Amino acid sequence: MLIAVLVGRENLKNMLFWIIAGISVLVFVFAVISYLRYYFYIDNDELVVVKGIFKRSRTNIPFQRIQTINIEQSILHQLLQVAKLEVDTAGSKGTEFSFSALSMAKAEALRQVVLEQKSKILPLPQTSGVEKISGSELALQTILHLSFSELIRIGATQNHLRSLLIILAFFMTLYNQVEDIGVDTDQVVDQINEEVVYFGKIAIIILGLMSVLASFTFSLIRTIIRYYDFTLFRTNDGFKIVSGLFTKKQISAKDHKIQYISWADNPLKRLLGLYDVYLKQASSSEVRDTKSISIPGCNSKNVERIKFYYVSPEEWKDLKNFKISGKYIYVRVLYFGILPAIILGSLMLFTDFKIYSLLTALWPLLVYLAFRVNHKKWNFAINHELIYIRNGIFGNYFKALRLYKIQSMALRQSIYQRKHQLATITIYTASGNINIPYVHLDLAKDICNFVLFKIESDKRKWM
Amino acid sequence: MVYNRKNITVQIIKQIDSHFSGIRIFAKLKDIYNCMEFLNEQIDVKGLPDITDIQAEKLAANYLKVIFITRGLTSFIFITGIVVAAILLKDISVTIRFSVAGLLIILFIWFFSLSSKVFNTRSYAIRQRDIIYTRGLLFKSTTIVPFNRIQHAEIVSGPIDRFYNLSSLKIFTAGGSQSDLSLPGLLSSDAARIKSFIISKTAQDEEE
Repeated sequence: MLIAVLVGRENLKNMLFWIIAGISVLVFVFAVISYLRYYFYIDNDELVVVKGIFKRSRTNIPFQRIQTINIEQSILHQLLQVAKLEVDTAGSKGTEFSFSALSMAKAEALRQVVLEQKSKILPLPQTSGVEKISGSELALQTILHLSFSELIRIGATQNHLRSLLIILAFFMTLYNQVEDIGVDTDQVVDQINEEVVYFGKIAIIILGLMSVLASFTFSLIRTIIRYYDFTLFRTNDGFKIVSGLFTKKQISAKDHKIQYISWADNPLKRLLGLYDVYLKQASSSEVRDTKSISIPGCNSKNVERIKFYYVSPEEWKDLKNFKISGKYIYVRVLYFGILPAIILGSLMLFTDFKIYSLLTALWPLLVYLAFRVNHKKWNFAINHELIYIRNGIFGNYFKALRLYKIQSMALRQSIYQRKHQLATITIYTASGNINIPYVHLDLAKDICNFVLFKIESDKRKWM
Repeated sequence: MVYNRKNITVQIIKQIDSHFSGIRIFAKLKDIYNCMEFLNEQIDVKGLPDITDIQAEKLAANYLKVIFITRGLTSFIFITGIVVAAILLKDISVTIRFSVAGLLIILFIWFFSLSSKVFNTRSYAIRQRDIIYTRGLLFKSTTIVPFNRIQHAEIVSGPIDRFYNLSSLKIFTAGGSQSDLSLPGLLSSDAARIKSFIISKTAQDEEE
């Protein structure tokens, strides 16, 4: 739809519109039938899910493999007395199942049944002992509590660009939907154009300011709703978070479930000395982002405390520091600076903005400066227990990962890298991949060999 | 004491009950290290087993034919589609139509011709504690999955594979679908033996 709007309407409009309309109808019908054909039942310590029309699939999930069951209710869910149930297993074969609308009673019942069954069965070797499922973890210490004023400070320092993009996307879809209904948007847009031209540049500036304000407000409200009354506790075997405005959510992050931690700031946050900390947990790939527990508004003392709970201070000793090759800058500038500038510049020559096409020559320079800063920040360090990574351009991103939590490793080389004896290391964890680009090949191999040795000889269970 | 290859030159060649067509597994220092108590001596990284110090196995010879057939079929279908589209889309001018079609057809022919190069870039090696798989033409990637991190393994055979008695061995990890290995072009018997070897190793690791 977007492409049709942007590229040009005369030639493509009719044909494309009908194709897309046809596809939308098919999708809708398909969705309805899929709903009718999606059900589950419990059989013998297993959850069996049956779904599909053409490709009927029956998947058995043994209760042992289920890592977590989460029940969530958005406001809409609460109104309709339904809940979203998410069944989570580790590993990509254990795909996450989510039933987006299940009656609340049934959801609770299912969760009870599964948890009961789980506690009866002997745990798999992978789980470290019987898990305490009931909420009887004693909160030993409050690490962090976010007051309302702190929430505002956090909301104000969020990534507003992202909010702006979300708002823009929202308006784009609105525009398309309005079009579908048949409103002659051409006329409306022409009218708007006329009025904008009439008011001239002032209008554009006002529009710009309004969108900035809108995205700022949006981030702020989103933060307040999400992190209202946010409190982080330390229990004897993990962390516990209680938060929520309309629904009180209680999330527990046990130490042995945490795959790695990361923390980040951005230029705005740095003014206030704040970091966002993320506790990355094991889950299947589709669900990764939502399952990573985020702890906003941490000052550096809090970050240190969380860091040292995850890896004790003695384990941080003797880190050997490394940097990545400078060639990283050249290749990144080529892909993100020079190439887009050439494409955009030559496209602009076809429009009325010929003059501005020269400005695109500035872009590669900016990108070069940005990546120089990035390269300077790019650091990684490794010792017997963990690997520590730091990167970022305007903001700083840190990661700390215990070696025995790593699932597998990969070395990748592009043609350029092969020529220059460089490689990109990819570390796979149960919470996502971590890449270290443009490492000298010998060092990359040594690191790979060392990490594999650690994984293969460490007796601790990663889960 | 620093461990390196000169101190402990024990190389045990282990042969499995059933012969893999020429695959041999070497037990290296790591096993000796593990028999000892927990020590935190300095590790000579250069003495550790090296992922490039392996005899990589190529895929079964017939797999090359499978690649040819699959790529050939895909290219054929797309080329017919492109030709049909080029003829039918009358509203676009002739020159544009046929030059674009020509370009796309050349692309697919090139895609097909890469088959033998693709075949040559793929290889694997099974070590005592992990499996190494190398692939990639433009971007060469070597993925190593330790046995004690394998969630489970599957043997899969497409229709063309079955014709040549080949299978793919899929290894699933908890690291997401990108770290899952899909080892194609194995003789079905080999695939079965490798799979049972891996499973026995995984079970062994859990007992330790």
